Amino acid sequence: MRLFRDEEHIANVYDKPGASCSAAQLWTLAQRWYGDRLEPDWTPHTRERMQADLAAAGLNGAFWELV
Amino acid sequence: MRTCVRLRYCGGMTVELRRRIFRHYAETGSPPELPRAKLEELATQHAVVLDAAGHIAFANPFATGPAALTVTTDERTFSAVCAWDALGILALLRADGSATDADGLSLEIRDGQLAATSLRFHVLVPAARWYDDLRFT
Repeated sequence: MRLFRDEEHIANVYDKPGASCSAAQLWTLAQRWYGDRLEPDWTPHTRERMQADLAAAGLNGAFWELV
Repeated sequence: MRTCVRLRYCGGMTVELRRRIFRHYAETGSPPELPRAKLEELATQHAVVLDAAGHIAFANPFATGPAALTVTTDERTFSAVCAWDALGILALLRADGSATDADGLSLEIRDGQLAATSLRFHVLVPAARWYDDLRFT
């Protein structure tokens, strides 16, 4: 999981496809995934919640499917 | 069903330990000292990843520095193993700041918003395999 300047930068480093997203999508995901971890009643998110967090960031499809 | 199993085993004691770890990282930038048996139990549940000496290497989103990214706020510096975690630290702290990798690529949060950037975040491992090897993922 790395930052890149753009898609060309990614293609120059990896010959495997993987997947990428914008920084805006990543910020949305980070807020939903981690934003409550300092709350006193925090509990680990369910798989369904985590999948919903990915979807809320626009990360859908087989690559982003948790098991 | 790895993720489901992982979550099912996070009982009350484990959750409270994880809360304690997050709070300690947030307040100091480093992990708390915990008994080795507790750390190994947490590692078995994928709640933390330990280094070769048995100390916490990372408890997402926090990492024990130095790590791949440095997160800087007005008050403190933190370490993270990836940009997702780095932004996660700023999200849970409700803090503005920056997340910068070893190549100098940087994301900034200002007034709670991501500053405009064309940077991309790349993930090599499919989500179904993230927990196979957290260090590699």
